Amino acid sequence: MRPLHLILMALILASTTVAEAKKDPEREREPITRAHAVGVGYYFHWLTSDNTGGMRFHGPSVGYLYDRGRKIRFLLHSKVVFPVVGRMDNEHGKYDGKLRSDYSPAWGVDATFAVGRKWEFDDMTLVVGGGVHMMGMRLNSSELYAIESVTMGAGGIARLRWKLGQKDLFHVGVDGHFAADVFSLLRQQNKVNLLLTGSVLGTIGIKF
Amino acid sequence: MARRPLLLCVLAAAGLLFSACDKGGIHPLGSSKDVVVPCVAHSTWIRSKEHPSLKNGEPIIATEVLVIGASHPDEIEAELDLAELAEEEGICFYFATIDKDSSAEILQGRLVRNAANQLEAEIGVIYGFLYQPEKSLLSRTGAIREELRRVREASVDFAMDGDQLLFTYDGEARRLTRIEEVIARLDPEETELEAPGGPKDIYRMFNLSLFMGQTRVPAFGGGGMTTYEKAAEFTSIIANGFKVDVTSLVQPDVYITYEKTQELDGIIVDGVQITYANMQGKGTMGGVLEVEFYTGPVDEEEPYFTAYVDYADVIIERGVGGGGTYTLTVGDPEGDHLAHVLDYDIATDEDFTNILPVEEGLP
Repeated sequence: MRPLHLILMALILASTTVAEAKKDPEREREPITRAHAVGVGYYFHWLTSDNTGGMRFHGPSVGYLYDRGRKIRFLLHSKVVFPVVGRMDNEHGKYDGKLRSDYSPAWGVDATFAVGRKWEFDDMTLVVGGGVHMMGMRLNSSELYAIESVTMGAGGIARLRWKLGQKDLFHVGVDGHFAADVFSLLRQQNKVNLLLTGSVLGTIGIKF
Repeated sequence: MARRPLLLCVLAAAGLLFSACDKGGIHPLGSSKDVVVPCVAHSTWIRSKEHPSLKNGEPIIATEVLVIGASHPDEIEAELDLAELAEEEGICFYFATIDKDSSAEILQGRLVRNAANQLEAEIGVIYGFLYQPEKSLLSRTGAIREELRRVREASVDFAMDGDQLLFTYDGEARRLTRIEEVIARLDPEETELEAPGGPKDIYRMFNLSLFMGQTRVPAFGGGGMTTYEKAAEFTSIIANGFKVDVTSLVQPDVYITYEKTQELDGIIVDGVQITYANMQGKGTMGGVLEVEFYTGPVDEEEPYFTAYVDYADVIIERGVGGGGTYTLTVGDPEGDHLAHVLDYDIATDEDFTNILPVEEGLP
């Protein structure tokens, strides 16, 4: 057997021995749990580029949320957004119209992959985490220039849920999300320089 | 494992959707796709020119096109007075350079009198199109419109020298020929493809009009054409307009419908041009365009001749003509006519030096 293999085996053996020695029912690790939820809510985003200055949008959103792990959890916050209001008023132009009548289709997708920590208080669970955020948006129109962007940056998630009933199976919750993107993933002449987005979703889900 | 193909499909669809975007980038909310202001009165002037730079050791041939908002340069002052009375700012001004390979730039603005009561061109919009066959369809820039934050002011001067216009733009003089006079140099009865004024020159003259329109279509020739999943209408510089319609994101057949479209004096295009290409830019073309050529005002004269361009035999590779032929029929297809078969590369051979030598355009 090669020396590297021997060293690895020794390390594994030592670690399991230590784990066995420290085994204590009170300190036993909780099982891995998974929580799936869907939700509806409202979102906003603000972006700026050299060609447009600041433009802000907001509207309803529909999301799918997931987290998995023990105390340290992997989190996914994903949603489809439907901007219904868009505004800008700067040296590049002024717009205060109704997006739903001027642009169709008008939608976006938004996802944050994060790592966070869970705290439990009686019937309530709080998970807070941070990670990578991506957002894509497409507003199209027959008369107006399409607005298309795909951006990437960092995002944070705060997830609060209350269990329904005695079994910790179903839950309702609130999901808050904020992100800042500084990278435009499209090879465009006038790129998005900065995008800020936030949302709140009311959720219902299942944990097992 | 069963989820993986679905996930890959979703990721591929998302990637396709977002790579097929307008490479021009983000535009202000409410910006119109079409900002052309058609000319009320108009005249069109052209010349062949050589770019000072070389391509493959040879000078780059280009065609300069000037459309001004007066039926004759001598009437510019009168048209400006009329515009003032109507409380309009100046008269229309379009100045374009179309390279032999179809790369193009169009300056759009207005002719005005400045504070010193001298003529000046105020350029507010610049359109650009780069012929990029070496790039994949989705990474190609396509036509781009730049709206200048501050108008670019350029001194201009117009002086007639016989039938030619001595036009000075920003200090650079050139001699332009009225387009109707160049159209009169076309010979509808010529059968030799390469002959001066022959079938190839007829096609080039027709194509000059198309280039003037296509360069103004944001994302034209690039992946961003998918934005025309919502059909868009464009106004022509002189009269009427055209419509761009893409059938769907996954099968992006492009229908461009011309309705007696007049981008330049003396040329009217009508019909539908269809490009059946997939997202890799491979496919075929279809449709027939009818083009009427005039040697005088279109509303006063009968056409000099009519031609038809049939696209049915054109093969599309990487989003541009990559094989096959155009069929150019000159005359009445039901009666006396001549049919010519032109190789696909005529579309990127926009060179009028056969009938409009470079020397004719020198000051």
